[in-house]
Amino acid sequence: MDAISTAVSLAERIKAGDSAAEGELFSTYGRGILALARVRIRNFEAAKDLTQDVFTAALKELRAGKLRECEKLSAYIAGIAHNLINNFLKKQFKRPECPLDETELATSNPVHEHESADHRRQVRREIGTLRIVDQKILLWSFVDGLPLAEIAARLGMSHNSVRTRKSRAVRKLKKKFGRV
Amino acid sequence: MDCEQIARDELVEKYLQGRLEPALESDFQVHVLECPECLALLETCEDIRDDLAPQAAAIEQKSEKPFWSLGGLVVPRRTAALAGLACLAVMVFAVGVRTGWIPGRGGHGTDISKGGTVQPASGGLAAAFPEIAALPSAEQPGIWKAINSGNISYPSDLSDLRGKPGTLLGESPEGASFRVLEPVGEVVIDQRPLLRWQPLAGAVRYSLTIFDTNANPVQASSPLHFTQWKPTHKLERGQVYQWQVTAVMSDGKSVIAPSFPSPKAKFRVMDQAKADELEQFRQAHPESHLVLGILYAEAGLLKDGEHELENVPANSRDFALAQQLLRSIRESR
Repeated sequence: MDAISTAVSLAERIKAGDSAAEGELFSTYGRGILALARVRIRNFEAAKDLTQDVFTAALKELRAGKLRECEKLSAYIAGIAHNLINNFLKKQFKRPECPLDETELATSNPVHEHESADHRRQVRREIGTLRIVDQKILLWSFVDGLPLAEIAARLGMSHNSVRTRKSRAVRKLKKKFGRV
Repeated sequence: MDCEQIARDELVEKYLQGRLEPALESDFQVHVLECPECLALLETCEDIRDDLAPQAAAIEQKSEKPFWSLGGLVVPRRTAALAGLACLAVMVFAVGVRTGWIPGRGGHGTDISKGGTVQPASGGLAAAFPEIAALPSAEQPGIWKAINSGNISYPSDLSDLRGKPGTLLGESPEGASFRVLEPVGEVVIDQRPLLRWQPLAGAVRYSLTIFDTNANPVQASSPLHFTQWKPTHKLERGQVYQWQVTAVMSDGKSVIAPSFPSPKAKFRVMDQAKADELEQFRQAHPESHLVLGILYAEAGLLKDGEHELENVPANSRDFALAQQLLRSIRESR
């Protein structure tokens, strides 16, 4: 079954009251929503809450049969996520005094904390095996947001070499840690 | 949107930085939900960002491990490779001259060996750069000196703009930190220059203040979610300014950059007469990248100078000299 047929089937089954389809919806889109939110919000617990909010809002509408073009389920879910992420960022901007320490104490999960710390250690070890020049390329690209042309100029290398080195380093790390 | 566009346009990087245009951002999010490969890429890039951000300063100070070492002498891999190439080039050249395959004199006509000369070393060189004659006579010696020696003379106030790092009496404070990127220690031509800084993991917003030389605030941004900002009003020409960014963290704490012992982030806005002179020359000689590069750098516009020198084509007569000048500018930073 292709992605469109899966989306149509999921939307129709949820509308018909199939609770297993609701679970499938979460397993299909949950990881993606969490990643999109985490990247922008930079707070794992808040991103997890936001992912829940996305599904709560989506299920409410899907159960009521309000999605007319079922083949556009991904765009529909992405749209809700997009709005909630932006609302979250705007709220943070308006209300910076967030009692974060208390909420973290209440919601943090020791198993997740342990896994996450372990994952970070592995990522650091793997990045540490890259050549310094490759670490600098990744740093300037992903942290400083410099365009490849500027990185090439800083390193006295050609644009193509920098692009090749960067994509080789990312591919290596993705192969090691990326879950496809 | 497809995977190819995401890679080609560096959309993951832009999403990480919060710099994706709204229309593209929606398409990107839909694609990530539908494409396991791009989702894995996004997660990997986030891992990379989160790992590298706290160790940015340490990585920037690192250099390649030595390729070869003997006693106290260490040779980095890159230097060894360059030295090897240089030796090969010298041998080929020597053989070429000896066999008459390469003439003993010629090329650019630059006469670096004489040192200190500030005029074209030959009529041929003057003919090679006729545009220099169009510059005010006071400017010309500096340009010829750079062409002859491969070194640039910077404005006298550039070292003041760069400042010196302070000395900490004790251990450096620990915790989150980030850096301002540009403009720092240079001259800008735009009265509303783009100010850029490094993102700080966990920051919920930033604010930026520009001060005059008496530390009086002259402009302040509203709260920002991006890591760049342009002053809303034009800054005064000829004036020196310093700027700092405050990042507000999710727990309400603030982190300021640059912070002691880093030097203050200063820049000078170029005066009107000089800006006009450079713009006039650029309009008349837009393809004269080498001379423009030197002119900009000697006026303290280091980034613009680098940009022009980078635009000297690799197959051009001036390429080797442009590369030498580029290295000189980068080493001076």
